[in-house]
Amino acid sequence: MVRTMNGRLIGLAAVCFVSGMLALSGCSLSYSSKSSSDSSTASSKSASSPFTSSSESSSPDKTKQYQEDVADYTTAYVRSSKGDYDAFQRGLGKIAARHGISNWEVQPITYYAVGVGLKKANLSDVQYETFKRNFAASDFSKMQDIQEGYEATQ
Amino acid sequence: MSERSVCGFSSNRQRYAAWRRPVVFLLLSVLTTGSAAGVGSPLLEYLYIDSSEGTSSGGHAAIRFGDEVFHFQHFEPGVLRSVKDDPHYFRYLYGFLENRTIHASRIDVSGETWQLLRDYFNRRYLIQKQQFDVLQSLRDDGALIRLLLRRKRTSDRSSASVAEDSLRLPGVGLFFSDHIGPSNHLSAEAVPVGFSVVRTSAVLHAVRRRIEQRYGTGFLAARMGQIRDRLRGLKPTGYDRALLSPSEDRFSAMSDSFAQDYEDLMTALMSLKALQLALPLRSDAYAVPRPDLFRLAPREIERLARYRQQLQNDLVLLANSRRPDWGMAFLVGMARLIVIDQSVRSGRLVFLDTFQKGDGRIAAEDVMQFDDVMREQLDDLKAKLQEAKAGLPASQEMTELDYSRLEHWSNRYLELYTGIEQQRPIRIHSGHLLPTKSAVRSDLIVPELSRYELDRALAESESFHHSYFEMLKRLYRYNLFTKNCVSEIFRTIHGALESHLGSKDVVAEAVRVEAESVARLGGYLGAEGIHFIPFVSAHSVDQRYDVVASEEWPSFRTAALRKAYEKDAPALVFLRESNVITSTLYRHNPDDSFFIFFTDDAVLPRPLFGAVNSVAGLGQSIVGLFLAPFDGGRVLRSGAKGFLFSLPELLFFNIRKGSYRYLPYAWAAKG
Repeated sequence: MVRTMNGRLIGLAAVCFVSGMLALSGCSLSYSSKSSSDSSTASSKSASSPFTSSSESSSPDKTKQYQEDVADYTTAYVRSSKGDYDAFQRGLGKIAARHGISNWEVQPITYYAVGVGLKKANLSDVQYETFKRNFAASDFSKMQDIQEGYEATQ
Repeated sequence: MSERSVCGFSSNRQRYAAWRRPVVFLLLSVLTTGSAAGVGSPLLEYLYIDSSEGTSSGGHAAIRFGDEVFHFQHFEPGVLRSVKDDPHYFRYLYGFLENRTIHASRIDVSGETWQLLRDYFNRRYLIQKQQFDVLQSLRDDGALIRLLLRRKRTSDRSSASVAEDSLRLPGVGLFFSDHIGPSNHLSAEAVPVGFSVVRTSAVLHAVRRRIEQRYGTGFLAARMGQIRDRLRGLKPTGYDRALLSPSEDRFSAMSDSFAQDYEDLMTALMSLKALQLALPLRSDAYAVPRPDLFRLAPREIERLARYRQQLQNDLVLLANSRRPDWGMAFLVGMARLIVIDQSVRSGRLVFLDTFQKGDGRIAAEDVMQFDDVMREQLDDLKAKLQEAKAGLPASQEMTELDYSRLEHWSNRYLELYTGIEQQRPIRIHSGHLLPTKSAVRSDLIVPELSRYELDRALAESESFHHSYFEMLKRLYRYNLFTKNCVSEIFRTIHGALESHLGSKDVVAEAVRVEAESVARLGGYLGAEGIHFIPFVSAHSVDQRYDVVASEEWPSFRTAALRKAYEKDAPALVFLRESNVITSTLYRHNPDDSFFIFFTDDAVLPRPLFGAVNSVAGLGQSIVGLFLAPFDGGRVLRSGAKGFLFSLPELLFFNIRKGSYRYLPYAWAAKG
């Protein structure tokens, strides 16, 4: 009888242990479809459905999303990098590509969004003007679009 | 057989038809119900996702800012990464496919606090993304240098035809086939004299003429010459040592990637080659669909014709662009111009194929088995395509964003339509892609680097890659107790408040962050303690933050069950839906472990059901032992998992919910 009791206790303990580990595991068994060294994805699981797209939204939302992404990227970039314009443009190209845009240079909204991002970055006037001129390659209409985004942001 | 048949197997269509509309209605009402928070206050919600046996067996957590959801996922090899999703997509993945109930706690915050937190979460997300992009660049540098070294070691030029000495160039596949062999007339290193292609593109002839008119007749040749010179003179420039000190708060210090520069230049050269020869599109690069849905109305043709003109103008400017990756954009633009021209001339939409080599596929057997689900999704895609075709006001000109949407939905619709009609595999990809069909080419221009220079560059590249990867792993290492999907949410919130306060005194900072959190969110939740457990964190948020409303987003099966109980006799529904054999709401998913009874909605009988499930799992494991040499252990794994996830049920704990392989996305997106 003692052996039976011990056996039952051991069984109960095992069940508690397993249950506890599973309950505590939280995101420890999170799905990872790709290795973290594959930088092309930090995306949610989407491997088994044709119906997935994390960017399915109506037309006005897509434009807004693109603008926000460009602005956020600009802010993060100018605050934390040395101002390499080639690298900035490459990053911009990747963001544009995620929105299905290949030729971001001819989209006025790109420059407007950059202006928004520059404002959020709280640059000095000199830094802002320098970036604006260099990025727009002194193109007047592009600089104007940047300025509009800058002034429209509080 | 009526929809109310007792314990009978109804057809797939009947199974879903019985409760489909009510479920959609229920979901709509849940997802669109306003909270008790003040009108106009920005939407900030803490999301707790129920446990299940698939991903995150103990549950998961996320934070929602309006139409963005941020959460943290564990990736190989043991790093925690920030993920950003659309809330409908998030609901679709977790609430529908993984069949988990999501609990949303709405936190009342000011607009300023909302913006502060949202911007900080997004900035961290972008920075981390860039850092892993840099990691990939380092790997690509190493791969390219090794390729160049192999070429150096090969004395016989023709043996450069082996695939490993070739490079995949994105976008080039729109006009060029794979070329793994000795150089031919389409070689990047030679401009063919008097060479003629059987069929050329009148559209590209026109673009070339306009470019020559604007920049001069020698422009193309001069630009190609410059690119070749740059390719031959390209050298790895080394890396900034600051790269090895990555931080969560700033982009990694990497400006030039040798491999990226090389790819950009080769792509640009090939794009100008395509223009110079006025090449036609490759036949596998585009679709000429038959369904009537792709007929264009006069207004649509007119709009496309205007966009065609604008696109041509843009391409002329792009040919002289200084952005480093202009070549890819030029290839895509030329390809799109050709198909748009064909669309305008034929009155039917012709578009580029945006699927990529290596995209996943839904097997043909699944297409047939889930025919009803596929057709439901096809209806939704049809609506989206029609909207994209006709959605613009007459006064508004089409932009690349608009065209890209049209291209995107056309691809999705046609792929699914063809898969259903022909019962063939369906290609799938996530997100919105550019039509950048790639080609493998061995006719590369080789930089004039000595073996010594290449060896040295390779050593440096590998060293930096290894060290940088170790740094990133250290920075973002997952830890069950201190750095997981829950703790990171609170740590990021605190980081946002800290950055706003801007103090350098760590001790005073901690006190001020706590005070700031109380002032802005109604309370403070440390990243330490047992809050790392998802369901505990949800309770803590409800207790300590200024939560003004709580909402439940029922799982797919839960919502369907509720409706079934309203329609049919409860006892009948319970008996029918309690197990996988007679359930009309669940279709066997091979990704699930083996089980008999659902226990998430059965509390009192849970230990009994759990016992049956445990025995079933154990039984399957034993069978699996014998089958292991033949099936690679698949049945054994399923049985073992089934047994493991059944054990908690003996003590009234439920983890497993059953999941779904395919469900129409529209059901989640309608919210």
